[in-house]
Amino acid sequence: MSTAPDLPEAERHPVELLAEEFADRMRAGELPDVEAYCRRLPEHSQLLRAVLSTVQATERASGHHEAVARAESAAATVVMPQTAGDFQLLREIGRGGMGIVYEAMQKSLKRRVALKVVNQFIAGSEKQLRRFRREAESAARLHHSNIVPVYGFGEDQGLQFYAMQLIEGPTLAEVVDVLRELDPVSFETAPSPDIRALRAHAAARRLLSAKALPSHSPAAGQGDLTAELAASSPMSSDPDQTVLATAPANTGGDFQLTQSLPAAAETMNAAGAAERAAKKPGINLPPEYFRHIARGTAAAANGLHYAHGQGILHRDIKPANLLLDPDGTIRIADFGLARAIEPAAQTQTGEIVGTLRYMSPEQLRGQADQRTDVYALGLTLQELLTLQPPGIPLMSAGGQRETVSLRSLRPEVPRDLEMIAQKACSAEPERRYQTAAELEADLLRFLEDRPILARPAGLAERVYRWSRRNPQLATLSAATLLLMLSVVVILGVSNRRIQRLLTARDKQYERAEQSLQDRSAALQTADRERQRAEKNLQLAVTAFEEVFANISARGRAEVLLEELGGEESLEDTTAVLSAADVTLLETLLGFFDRLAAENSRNLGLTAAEARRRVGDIQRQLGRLEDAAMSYQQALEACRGAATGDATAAAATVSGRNSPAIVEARILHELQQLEMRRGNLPAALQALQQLRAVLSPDSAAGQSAAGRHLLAVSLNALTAMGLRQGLEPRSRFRAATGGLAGFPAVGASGNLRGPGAPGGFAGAGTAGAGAVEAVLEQRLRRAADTNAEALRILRQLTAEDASNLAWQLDLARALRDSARIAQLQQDWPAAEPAVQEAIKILESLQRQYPETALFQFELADVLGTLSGLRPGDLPQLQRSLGLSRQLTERYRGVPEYRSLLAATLSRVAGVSAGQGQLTRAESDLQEAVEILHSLAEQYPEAVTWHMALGRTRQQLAGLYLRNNRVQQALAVLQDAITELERVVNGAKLNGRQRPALLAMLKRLREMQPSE
Amino acid sequence: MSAKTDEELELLHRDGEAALAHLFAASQPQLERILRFRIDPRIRGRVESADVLQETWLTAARRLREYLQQPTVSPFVWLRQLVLQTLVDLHRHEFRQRRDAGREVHKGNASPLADTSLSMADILLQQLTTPSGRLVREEEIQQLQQALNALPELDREVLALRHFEQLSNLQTAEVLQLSITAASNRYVRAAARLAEILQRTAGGGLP
Repeated sequence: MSTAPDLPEAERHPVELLAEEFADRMRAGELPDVEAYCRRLPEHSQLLRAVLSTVQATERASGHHEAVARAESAAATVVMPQTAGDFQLLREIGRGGMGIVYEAMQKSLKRRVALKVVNQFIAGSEKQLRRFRREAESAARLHHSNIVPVYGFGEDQGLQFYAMQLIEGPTLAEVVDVLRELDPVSFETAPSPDIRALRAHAAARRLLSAKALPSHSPAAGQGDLTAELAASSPMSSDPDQTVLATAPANTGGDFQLTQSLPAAAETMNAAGAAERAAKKPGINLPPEYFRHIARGTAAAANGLHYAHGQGILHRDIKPANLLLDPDGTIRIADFGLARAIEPAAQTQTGEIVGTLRYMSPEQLRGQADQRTDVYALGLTLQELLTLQPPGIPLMSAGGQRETVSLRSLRPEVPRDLEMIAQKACSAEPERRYQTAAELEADLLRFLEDRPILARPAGLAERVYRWSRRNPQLATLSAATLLLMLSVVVILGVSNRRIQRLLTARDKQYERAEQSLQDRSAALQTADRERQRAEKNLQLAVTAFEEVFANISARGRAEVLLEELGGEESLEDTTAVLSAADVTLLETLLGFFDRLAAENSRNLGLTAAEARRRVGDIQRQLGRLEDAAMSYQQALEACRGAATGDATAAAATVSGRNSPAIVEARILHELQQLEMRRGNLPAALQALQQLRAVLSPDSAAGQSAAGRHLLAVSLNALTAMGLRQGLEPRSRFRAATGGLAGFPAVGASGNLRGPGAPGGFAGAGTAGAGAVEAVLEQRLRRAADTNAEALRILRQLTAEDASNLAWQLDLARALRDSARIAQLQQDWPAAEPAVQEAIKILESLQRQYPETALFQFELADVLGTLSGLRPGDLPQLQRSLGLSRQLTERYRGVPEYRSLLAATLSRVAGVSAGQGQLTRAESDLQEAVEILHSLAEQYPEAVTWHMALGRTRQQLAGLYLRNNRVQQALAVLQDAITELERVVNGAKLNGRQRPALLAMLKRLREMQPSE
Repeated sequence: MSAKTDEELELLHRDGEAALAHLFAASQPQLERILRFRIDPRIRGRVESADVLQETWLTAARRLREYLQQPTVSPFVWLRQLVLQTLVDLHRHEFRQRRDAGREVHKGNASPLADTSLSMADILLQQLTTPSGRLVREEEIQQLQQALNALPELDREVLALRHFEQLSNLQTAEVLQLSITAASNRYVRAAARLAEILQRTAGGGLP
């Protein structure tokens, strides 16, 4: 529709309104019926009929005129100058924004060249001329097999021009035009008797066939060309061969392009009433085509990269500027707006020229760098893949184009190519390939069937992107709340409506018992409605998943726990939540609760997922009892859905949303919950059920998602086992000898200093041997689960090297296996595991330097095992460096600060062991400060208090070693006072109280008796 | 002016040349259409519409601020004006050596471009071609031209704007400086009259 809707319609003549509608439909290619319109307006029918006849006549005429005019301007003969300097002009080849390109003969060198002459109409401006000169100069510097070489420039009788290599081949724009027009049935269309069109057809045909090159190299004359075309056609018994073979042969210099006009006009007249051709469906592009395109684009990217290296941007990359020479090589031409890359280059008014269609958003603002060319090449690639031109940039969206799914326009586009194109065309320059070479590399990967780097943001990557932007949940709450509220409203309304619809259908179904047809129709509608409702839900669920991902991306506060030892975690929550976080989560809770309730009846599977999320939120908020119940409900809903809903089960067997996977997910969360509650048997039971659901011979068990889930569950169990194992051998250097000598399992020369104060009541009562046996058993179990998790994760990462989540989990599993090996005194096994984990994390960190989570994990792993051998100091220091970076960059995040505190105490331990007592002291003091402020900020979090007490204890021990008794006393007193305050004041659960009391006891024992 | 115009103007105020670039790109197909309709057929082959549009763009960028200070027409109509102005310059440039005695190129306030009625007649008659051939058409063109001249000039323009330039009623009203209602009514009357004329000329044989 070319006319925008005008309002108010009341002011306009009713006949005129209908006439406008009629005309619009004609322009869209329809043939509206005059009488039908007349019936709509009986009181004006006479008038309307007359007006509509005018509309028909004028629209047809206008359309015809358009076509003719276009053909004319395309095929016009121009008063061509005869000579220009050393060049004899032969004929026109094409036209561009700045000038006309001719074929010419260079008299002195007797070679044929392409000569670009600046349009005289434009040449009036001095500025334009200067640009032209500059263009020629910079283009002349480029020498690359994918760039059309410029021979030189000149001026003659007011004509400005430059000469470049003549390429006997079509532009990609021409080829695309041919491909667009191809008839799907016969793959044929009659090309007009025009050399350019013939070449374009030949090239198009080559692209569609598996043959890469024509049968012989380019010939000198045009007569050979037709023979070549005939020979290279893949279909030998093709009736149209004769058309090609009899195409006008060598016509030399007086080739008249206007020949095509009468022919064109004929066909157009013949078309008659349906002048505006209906859009043909177009051909199905074969896979070879895409490979050719990928290869060609890679070559172009290579050329671009070279030019960028020379400091030259193209700024006008589009299909019309990419030529295909007879070899099939891509040649970039017309570095028309080339300009040396200047830093902060701003164009002035009037200099934003070039085809707007292919411009990047920043280019429209006047800034361009090499990524601008990448963008334009990406758009070109898109057009080659879909055969549709890129959309016009949206005015209101700041220059962004709508992101199109290429595969929705053309399903046969390979997925990887689509992703590459989309990455190249990202609106933000940072998201694109940063150089043309990177684009080329990914294209080559595609061609070699290797995994490409441009992956869509799956949930894992979204997590990392999110965390990069803002690890603090609370600061997003305003916007997220708004989003949530609006979604709630919308979903609330629509789901109720759908419920009603479904209930109505149910009733209808009952009533229509006798008629089989009614029944199936009712089922179909109900099914469709349900699918639509499910889709809405999925959208909402995905949005909220991101919110959760944010929480998990912040790392763990439990880093400290490993230092503290202890069987169970002291907190009910994993993340340290601020008040704002809590409010946000509670709102989320309400939403999901309602979602689960409303949809439980008919939308089985997704309701189970919603119920699971209720459990997740409750867990985050520390309401563990409620969470357990929610998970049970979720399991019921899931199992109920699986049996009752055959269609849903059949739909995605091993997909992420299959009933088995959903159930497994719930069981995984349940396992985590039970671990958190300290209920090991229940956790193991959940794991057992998980194994059953994900049995190795089931589809879910074999799927990547299923296996990953199992590995992650095993990892979690390992971690818990490790905490128990670490309890008696905390790495803190408590150098005071007078501690209750806990018979540290396997204490030997590898551990410096006596075992640190152990934890719990059981230590003193049982005999050393019994405890040792229990611990060894636990260790062994942890080692088993860890080994299995490792095996699965190695398999997964081997299958797909680009999955970030898997890589991260593999690194974590390796870290755990190193810790286990360490506890088992198996150093040869520990070292390589740590190194491998470090390598993985370093690679992740390099790829995503902005992602805090990777840095966090890397810092943690670097600290693993460190401090027990003298050579570990550099690694520890690196860990310290990373922790500091994290805290500096993300000031408010408590997890990072606790990591820094933990690292500081690790480093302090090593320093103390090496005799650098002053250094150790200052590090510990800093750690104490950090923990102190954390404890003040989050008074409910007992972990900080424990850690604070612990670190003060460590510091006190250090002072005592230095014979600074006064300071030691002071520190101990502080610790005791504060802990007493916590014990007496705060609400403590069953685990926290004994732990605090035990710590108090140890502190008191440390005080040297007066 | 309409709400759409207000929105466009605001974007132009805010983003300046960048917004203008979008508007230009979005309007390009229609501006080309207008170009092809208005350009004198004698020079149509010599001038590339891309060149004209490029010149128009440069002018628009230059004059944007001035326009925004006192926008009397909607942005698209303004661009259209600039295109036509560029065309006028172009015509002067091309025709500066010759003065065609047989044709009246200037028509008071109307654009000194290809005579609307002539081009319309030419175009319309191509539609009504009888198999007899060219010679007949010349006569018929004359006949039709006379008939079209009988139409008030405003009527001719309205039809040309609506169907050959494909402007909307609102835009037509802006260009001709009429109210929406007046433009709408004018169109209906003009179309009805032309129907009559065509009927007479074609001898009752409308396609």
